Amino acid sequence: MHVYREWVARTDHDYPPFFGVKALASLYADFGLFEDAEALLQEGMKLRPPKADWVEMRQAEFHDAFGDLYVKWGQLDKAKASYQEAVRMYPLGKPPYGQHLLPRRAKKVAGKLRLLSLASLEGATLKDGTWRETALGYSGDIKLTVKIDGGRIADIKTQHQEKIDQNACVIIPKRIIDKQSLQVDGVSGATVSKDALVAGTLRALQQAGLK
Amino acid sequence: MRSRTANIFFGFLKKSRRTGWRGRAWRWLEKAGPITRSSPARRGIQIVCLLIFLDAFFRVCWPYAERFSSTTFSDKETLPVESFLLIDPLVGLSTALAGKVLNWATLWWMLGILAFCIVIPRAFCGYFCPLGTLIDAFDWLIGRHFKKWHVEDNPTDLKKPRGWVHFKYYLLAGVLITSLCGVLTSGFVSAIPILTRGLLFTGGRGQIAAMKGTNHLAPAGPMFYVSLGLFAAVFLLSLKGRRFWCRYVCPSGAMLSVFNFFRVGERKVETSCINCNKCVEACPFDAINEDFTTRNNDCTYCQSCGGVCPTDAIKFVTRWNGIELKLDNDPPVQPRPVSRRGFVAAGVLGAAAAAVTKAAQATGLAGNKEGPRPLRPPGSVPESEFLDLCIRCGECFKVCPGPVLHPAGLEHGFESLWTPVAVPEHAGCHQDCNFCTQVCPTGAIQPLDLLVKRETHMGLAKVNTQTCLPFREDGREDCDLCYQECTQAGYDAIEMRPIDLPVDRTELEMQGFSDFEIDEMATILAPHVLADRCVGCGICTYRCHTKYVVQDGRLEENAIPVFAENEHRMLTFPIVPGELGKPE
Repeated sequence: MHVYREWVARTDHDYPPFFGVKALASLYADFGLFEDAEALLQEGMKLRPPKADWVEMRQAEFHDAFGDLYVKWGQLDKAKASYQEAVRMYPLGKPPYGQHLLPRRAKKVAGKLRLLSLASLEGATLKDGTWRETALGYSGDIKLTVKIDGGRIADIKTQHQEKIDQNACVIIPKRIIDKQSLQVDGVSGATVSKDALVAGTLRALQQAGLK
Repeated sequence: MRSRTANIFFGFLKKSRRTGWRGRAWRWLEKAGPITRSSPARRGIQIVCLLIFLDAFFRVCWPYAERFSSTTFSDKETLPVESFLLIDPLVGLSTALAGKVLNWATLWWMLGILAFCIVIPRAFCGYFCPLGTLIDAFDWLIGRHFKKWHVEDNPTDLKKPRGWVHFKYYLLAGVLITSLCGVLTSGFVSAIPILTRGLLFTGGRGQIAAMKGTNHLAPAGPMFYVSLGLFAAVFLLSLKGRRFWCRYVCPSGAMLSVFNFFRVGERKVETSCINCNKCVEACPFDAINEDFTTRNNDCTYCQSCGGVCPTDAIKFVTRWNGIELKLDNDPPVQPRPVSRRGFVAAGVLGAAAAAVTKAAQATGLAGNKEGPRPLRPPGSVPESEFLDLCIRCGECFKVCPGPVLHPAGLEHGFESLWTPVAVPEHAGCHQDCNFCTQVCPTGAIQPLDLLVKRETHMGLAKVNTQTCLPFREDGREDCDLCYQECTQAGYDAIEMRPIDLPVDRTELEMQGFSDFEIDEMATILAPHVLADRCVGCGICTYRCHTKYVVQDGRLEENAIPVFAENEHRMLTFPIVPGELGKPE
């Protein structure tokens, strides 16, 4: 830890020590020094790369790091906000090289966000009622009607336009209800439909008070 | 003793016999009209045939199931769904003439129905033809309210100046002559193809819209409305008379009429005839002369006349039965002869139409010859034979899940009108489906085993490097949708290969990026199509199209279109995939 601390503290850098700051903050967080890590990352946010092209990407990286920190800290709301900011910022980046990587990185952060949401379903309190959502499937909108009864997912009705969905639009909702979880196995030959169903159900649950 | 007869009309016509169940049946049938009442057995057969046809069309040919699989279609098929197309005699004859191919599968059916119709003349029209039954229904529901427009007063009589009464023969001659010249036109006028195509464009589309969603429908072009118009005209003709289409226009019926010269069965009238004219009023086919004897070429053996005859004078017997026959020509008959001029005109017109089409094909005037060639379903015979064999019945569209196959408009020329064209933007050809190859009645699409179908090339996908996301310079992005689809479908015809991107390594190293990160920046994986494995199914196209053109709107058109190249087109396809050989 002290090596990183010295490296970050040096003032004669050719290039701002982005990597060092993030690594040190991560170490702090691992040792439970959450306030230190937060302060360090806030300092890091103020660093500016010499070429303006890289600014947005570096900022997005820091939001991502903030998200990781808050997850370890247990502040899930803040983590979610930071990740969301990272997902928003990455595609805005204009680095001269590796621009094709930005959507890839954004997707990675979106994956972390999704994991957060999925994990939060356990022990979540859902409001009773009927919630409607649409999700983009393979060939059109899938309309979902999620019924919550007694805090449980009681029923999911789908109206879809998929051409050949291998009955995923029936099987997946059933699996979700049986497991009371969004982490369900897919149906071979209908991955896109399955992903859409899970994403749509998640949004419906968010309407029902899932955080 | 009376002669042995084949009468199927009910013998409960005399008032004295209308008691008990016979009486109840009589009163019940009375409501259904005189034709149904006089030979309910025939009505029953008609209705059963129509139901079989509609069941095959709407239930068996519905290609979707809870879990789609290669047996989704064959599990439901008990009778071949194309049965009624096969027994349309003109379908078999004209495709054999046009394609110069002896397709025995079709010809056996044609010979079978002709043999049957020698015993029971024109039984196809009177008993089996689902179009005829539907026209009967139209007559009963709508046509009978327009009696004042009817031309039923013996239009075949020479005294009436009506040259069109033999139009069906001229049409038949024209169709056969164009077929002989190698251009197939029977699909436009033949009874069952008109019905299947018309149903496809009405009920078929309705079924898709209702049961799958309107986004599964192909946009309707002008030729769609032409086909609808043809279909509607067949029915609207009935406003001019009962089964007007069948009597005067239908070339399939004309062919059977011609074969009535060899008839074994015949309607005969005995001396007990009292000239009451009831049979003439009942006959839906205008097949009774003024002297109440039979116009044998037109009689469909429907036996309606036998049912209405108050004196039981009409019998259905063999043509050599001559017992107690009524005198001919009393009152006198003057039938209008078939006009030689009509045949000459039809022949010349047909030959001219064929010549123009052939010339247009040769010089490329018709349609867009410079543009992409049509993408045909797997198992299609070579293009020129395909056009000669395809009867435009639309069975392949109906049975196609997605649907991938759509009727062509005029974009590939008039000769391709309503032939099946695969439209991968609308859906990809499913790897577990060979349904279209199973339903073609004429062999334009050869029956393929599923294993053979999976290796039969219908085209070749090509990546457009200007727009494909990993290839394009501007807004380059990871994307492997086509690769995913191709791999999942089991073709493995798309490989993701790295392309090198320009990077300034020293600058990036100075910025603290690791070697791994720099390598990541310096390469991207992009799809490459392996021409020897790509079958042109278009699953990749469909995915790219729905995602980026329809849903995101990022691309103007999909980045991996399929072209009609590298195809397997042959007259007969092997049974095992190993013998397919190299595509052209």
